[in-house]
Amino acid sequence: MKRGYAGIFLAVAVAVAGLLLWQGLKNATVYFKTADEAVAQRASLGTRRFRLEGVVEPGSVHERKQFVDFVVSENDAEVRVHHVGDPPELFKPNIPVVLEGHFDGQVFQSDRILVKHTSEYRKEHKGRVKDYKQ
Amino acid sequence: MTAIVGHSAALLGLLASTIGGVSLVVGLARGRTNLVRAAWSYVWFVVAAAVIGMGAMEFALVRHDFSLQYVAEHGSRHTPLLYTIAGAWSALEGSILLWVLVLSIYLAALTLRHRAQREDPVFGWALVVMLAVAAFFFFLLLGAADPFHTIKGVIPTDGPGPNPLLQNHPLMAIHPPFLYGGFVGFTVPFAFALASLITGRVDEGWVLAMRRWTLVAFGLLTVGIVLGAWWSYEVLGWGGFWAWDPVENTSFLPWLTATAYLHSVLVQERRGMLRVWNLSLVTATFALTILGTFLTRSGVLESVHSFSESGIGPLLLGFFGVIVVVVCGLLAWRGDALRSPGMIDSPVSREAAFLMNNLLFAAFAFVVLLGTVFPLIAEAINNSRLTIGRPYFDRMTGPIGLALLFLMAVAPALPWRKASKGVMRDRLLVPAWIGGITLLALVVFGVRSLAALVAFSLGAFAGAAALRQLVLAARAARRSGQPWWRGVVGRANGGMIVHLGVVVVAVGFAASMSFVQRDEVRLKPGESAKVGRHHVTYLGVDHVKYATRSAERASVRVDGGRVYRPALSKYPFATQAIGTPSVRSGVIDDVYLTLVTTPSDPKGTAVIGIIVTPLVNWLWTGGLIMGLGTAMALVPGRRRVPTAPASQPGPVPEPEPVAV
Repeated sequence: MKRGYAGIFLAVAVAVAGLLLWQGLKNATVYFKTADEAVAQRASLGTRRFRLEGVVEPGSVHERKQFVDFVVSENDAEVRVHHVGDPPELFKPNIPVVLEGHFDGQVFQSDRILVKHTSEYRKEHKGRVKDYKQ
Repeated sequence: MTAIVGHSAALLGLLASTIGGVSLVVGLARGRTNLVRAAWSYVWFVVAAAVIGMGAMEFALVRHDFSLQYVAEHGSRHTPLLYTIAGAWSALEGSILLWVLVLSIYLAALTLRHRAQREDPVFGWALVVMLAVAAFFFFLLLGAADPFHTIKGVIPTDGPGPNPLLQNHPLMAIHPPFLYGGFVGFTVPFAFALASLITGRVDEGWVLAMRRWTLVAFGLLTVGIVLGAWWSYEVLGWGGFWAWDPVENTSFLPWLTATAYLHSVLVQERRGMLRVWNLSLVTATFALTILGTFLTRSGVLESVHSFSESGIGPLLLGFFGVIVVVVCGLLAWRGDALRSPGMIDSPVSREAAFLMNNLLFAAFAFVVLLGTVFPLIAEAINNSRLTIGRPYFDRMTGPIGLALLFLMAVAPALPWRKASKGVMRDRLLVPAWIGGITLLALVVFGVRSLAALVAFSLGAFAGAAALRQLVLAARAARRSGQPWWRGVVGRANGGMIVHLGVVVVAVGFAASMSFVQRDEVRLKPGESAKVGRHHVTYLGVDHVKYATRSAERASVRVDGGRVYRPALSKYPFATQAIGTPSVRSGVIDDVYLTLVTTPSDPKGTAVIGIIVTPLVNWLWTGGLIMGLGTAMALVPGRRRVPTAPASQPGPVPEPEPVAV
């Protein structure tokens, strides 16, 4: 009888641990989408937080005191971005960037800009950034 | 020329380790001792091959021999000598060479130290395993990760040098050798674990022989990880030191299983229990070093589908698979012999505490491993790219870490077999009071972060418990006519010093996580900002040219004292500017300065990042204390009486408080 209880206890413990892990993973998952994927899945993404990757369109950058607006594109799909905060020193048109934030209607609200290592990035992801202009 | 020498060295290494291994197997299987004795001398060819290989690499790097592809890609004429030398382990091929060199050092040390046991089958089979591992890595050097590959066509006159991030802090030169010293060191206990299974001598013999070897690897890995965290703090510019990045996780995973092993092995030594578990932990530690190398070096983290593009990915994964299959097979084969003679008598005993410790460490390792490989699983299953963020790791590992801290306070005070209430009170009352008073004092002084309160008070509890053990041990040493320092060396007491180091790390970790203050301020020359208790004045910016880079350098005065110079550097071969933070370190807190945006004209506004992190220095100090404690644990301590392996009825003998 004692063994039976131990078995039940173990099963419950494993189930609880599994549930905790699953919840933890689910809450901390940040999806990674290129601009074209993001446009295609805009409906299902909703206001969920994810990482958006694309190339900063030249001529689209408008910098204000507290924020910066620009457009990123990938495979001819464009996403308008509103980034709150100072962009990093390395931020400039024509470089691939990764942004973290969420969609708010048509505009992607970003609060984090990661600038990719451009030269290595191009070498490793020939398919991902196609018409890269220097 | 260098390429020929290098290739010959790798070939020599492969041949020597293969021939040595094969003749050992034949000698051991047929019982021909002369063959076994002779096989040990192949070790010296392996050592020679590794030393010549690394020597050729360094020669090519220092002489700027750009006919080698590795030098052309990772060397440059302007890189300072230190980073040119360290360039030998700044990329995949060179790091495999370093792996081989470290492994050959362990081989040489093993051969010299255990000269008397060369005919012992356990030692023989262990050498077979180590030579097989060496052969695998020499094989990598000959093909998939060839550091001596020559450039076809025009030889460049200069190279880009190492990645800019790898050449602006001296820690980068010493962190990898320490890390590899730890990683590769676990090959030795793994080899002995396999040898014990192969020979069927699964008793405590190999465990005793491996005590110091495991400690050496553990100490080097500990210091290596801490140096890596320190480097990333000093160089990367985000003010943190640990990001649960896959590269960090893969160095941490073997540390977790090795730490679990160092504790559970004591149970096996004392009581003969947990044999299968210990074999599994040793295997897991070694296998995780290989898995880690696979994850970080094959490009699999970039994308599941890209790993097969590198030649080394499938080989490392295959090697990992072979290790797991062989060990599982051997465990099944020797299953009967692995039955333990003893049982755990009481849940309030040293062995039960060690069991709990092991469950927690295993859970810790599982959580970290799952978070690291989950993106790969997700990509393989439904092709979605995702990352697992810090919240997962912080939330999952935090409680486990605190539970371990609690166990660290209580477990060393528990006697083997069964604890009585009186013993517990004697040993834990004072440390528990110290923990409680710390908690009260922190609440009174206005600390409200729950995680920090728990971590600090458990830290005080565990620290007091460890100190009490050390004081008692030193006194006991004095009483028995030995000098007091005899009480702080040896495995048990050195272990207590490691525990003190862990407490210092835990306090630093909790404080720096809970009370960090970050700000980004826009300042004109002469203007000041205040973050926490610190005043920061921006003085101006200047442009500096170095041999390898040019930099925009801001001058920032902290608290009216010294001027610090965070910079943004541009390297000619890198398109990206590299931020160089400047840190004012102190015992209480660090002021971490970064130059975020340079002004367009000298009188303009600069953006300065200011991060004030309390007690972050404690992390490095604690890590070094852990390394020191491990070194002191290597010094032979006082002899003690072993406990009988099987449990007996009757009164529980009262062991000395210092005995572990």
